[in-house]
Amino acid sequence: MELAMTVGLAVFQIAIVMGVVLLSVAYMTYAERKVLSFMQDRLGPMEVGPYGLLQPIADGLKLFFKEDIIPSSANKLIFAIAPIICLVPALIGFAVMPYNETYAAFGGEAGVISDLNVGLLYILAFASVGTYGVILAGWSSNSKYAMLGGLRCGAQIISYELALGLSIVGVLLLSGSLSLREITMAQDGGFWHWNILLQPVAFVTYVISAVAETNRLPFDMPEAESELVAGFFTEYTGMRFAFFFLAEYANMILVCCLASVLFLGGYEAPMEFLNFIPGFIWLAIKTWALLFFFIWIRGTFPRVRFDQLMKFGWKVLIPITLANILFTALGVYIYNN
Amino acid sequence: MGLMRDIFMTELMGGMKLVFLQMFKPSCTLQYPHVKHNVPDGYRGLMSLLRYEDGSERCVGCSLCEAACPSNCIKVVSDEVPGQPLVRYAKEYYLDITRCVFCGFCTEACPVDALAMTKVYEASVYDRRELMFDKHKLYELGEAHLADGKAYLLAHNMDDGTLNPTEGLGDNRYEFPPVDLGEGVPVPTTVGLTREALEAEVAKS
Amino acid sequence: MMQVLFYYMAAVTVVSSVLTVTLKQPVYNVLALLTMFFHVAGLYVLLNAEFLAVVQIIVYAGAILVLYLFVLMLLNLRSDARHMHRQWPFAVLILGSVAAMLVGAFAGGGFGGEIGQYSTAYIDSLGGDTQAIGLTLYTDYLLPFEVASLVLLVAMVGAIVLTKKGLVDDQVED
Repeated sequence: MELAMTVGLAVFQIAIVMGVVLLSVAYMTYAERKVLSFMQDRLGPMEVGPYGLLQPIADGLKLFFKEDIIPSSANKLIFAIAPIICLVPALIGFAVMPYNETYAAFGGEAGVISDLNVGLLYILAFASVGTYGVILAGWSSNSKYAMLGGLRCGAQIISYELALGLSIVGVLLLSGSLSLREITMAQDGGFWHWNILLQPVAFVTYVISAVAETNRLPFDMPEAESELVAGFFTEYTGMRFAFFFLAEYANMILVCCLASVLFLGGYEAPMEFLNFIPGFIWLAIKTWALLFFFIWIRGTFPRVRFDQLMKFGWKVLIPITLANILFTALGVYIYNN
Repeated sequence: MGLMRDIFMTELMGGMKLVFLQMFKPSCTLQYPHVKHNVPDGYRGLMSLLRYEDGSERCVGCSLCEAACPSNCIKVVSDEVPGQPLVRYAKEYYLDITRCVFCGFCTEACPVDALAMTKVYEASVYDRRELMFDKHKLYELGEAHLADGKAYLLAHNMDDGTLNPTEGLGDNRYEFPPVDLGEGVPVPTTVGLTREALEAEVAKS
Repeated sequence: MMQVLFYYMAAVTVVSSVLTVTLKQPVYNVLALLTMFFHVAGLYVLLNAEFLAVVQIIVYAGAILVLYLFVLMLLNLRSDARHMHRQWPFAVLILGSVAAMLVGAFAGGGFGGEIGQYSTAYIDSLGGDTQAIGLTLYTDYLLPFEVASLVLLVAMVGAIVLTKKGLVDDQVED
């Protein structure tokens, strides 16, 4: 009976978190189009529903009913599973994301699907698995654009994953845990306890490498539409295309969620007297602020060249993050003694 | 200073600030199917044929428009008006609007101001054959958009905007109001004269 | 429950390792190897070693195998007759002796060697496997750890020297 309760609760939590994430993905596309439009003196989607609010649903339906084309010279098996390999790691990371202090209403203890003691590494591990989807999609399409996009994506993600992982280490040194819930709890009690104040350099490097990791402008080399058509998903249509799309936006939400947990206190309110607002709303506010930042830099910066991207990753970001780790470790050592 | 600028990314921040402020400026989008552009009078939209006020056709079937058309999309079949020898009209008038380049040369060529362009620019149809305009369709367009046609002829200086048959056709054409060139400069005597007066003037000299 | 999971993981690990060396299409080999890494990580999880499991995925699946795949895509290998070439007698010899050793070990009562102090309960008392690994690695095995990092550093410097041709030539000319 107890097992059934546990499983039922977990399934319920998974359903809610997945629903929220997928809805966020849908409205992230809408928000992106709208915000970019406003930045470019346009209006964006206005036709479907009031102010175009139903546009993501219309887009989803369109993609769902589109014909699924598999190129005749593609490797059909890998072509079919690549989008799934891409999407699953993007969604699976939310399992360890703490979204609330507790969920007392349902008799649970921790506001997280699974409070894994290596939660942060778990997210990094599955984020790196997502690369396979992209590379295999590029290879199996048997198209030069897709192939180049896949190769670029592989090189870019491997390079920037290092910077991403290294910029997180400073936070780990401060909080002494790999569990995202404990990292959040270590930042309790107001915004002056947040890690961003102790690790500003790590925050900046994290955000930059997160942008590169999720293949967003100005680092969207894998799908640079002006040179590679659509990069690794050039040959994809219909639902499979939608999977890649979902994966890209889910990845964005994941890295923003992770940034707000690691640096901005996660579900913690910025001031004590604001505690009456539930934690998941704070997490959503912080995540969406970062997502807005992602759109903002997309609207501002032009795409960098691929060699500049690599040079920046290896020669600028990684040395900075290594120096940051050194200084943080020294600081923690001195503080503890 | 350059190092500090690199570290704090002031140039990038400047760009981001500009983009952020741009968000609050009003949009310049026109919600097209719901809101339409204000089309100027000289706009060259779909071609139309005009009638006199008594309802008779202006076109005399001279085929000058056909000759002037650079894309050869006009076809005129001229014929005598039954019972009225020497009076001609266009028995058939075809306009392939898919080939029309909307240059307006036909309206310039027309000696009787029978052709005018309307402000209609939404010409999409489901059947391509509907874009092969015949005489009936062209007169229909002319009746529906008579004001547009008049405004067009006025804007292009081919008519005084009334299309009044009693005043004579093309009176407004190529006639410009006299310009005061200032002290000491004699105004040319030929400016502002009608054609007959001009011819008389030329004959005198 | 644990038994069922163990047998599933073990079976898939064995099958996918065999597939890794027998499948003809190189990309399929990489995918089979990826499957194997995941199931080995699953075995680690069953042993309460989450840290090892995740590191297994990050290092092997996330970094090394991606590079393999990268190279495979660039080389565009055809599924040529790579199997049964001239060295197969050596392979039979080596693998046969390993198999004989394994069979002998199983027949002699399995791997019932001495079990160290790191039981699941002991690891939990240290505060989790991450802490246990960290404590062991940075106290008892600090010297091997540093030696390993030195070897990696040498390899890194060597790679840079190999790729930067001009670096070496200039020095020779000077």
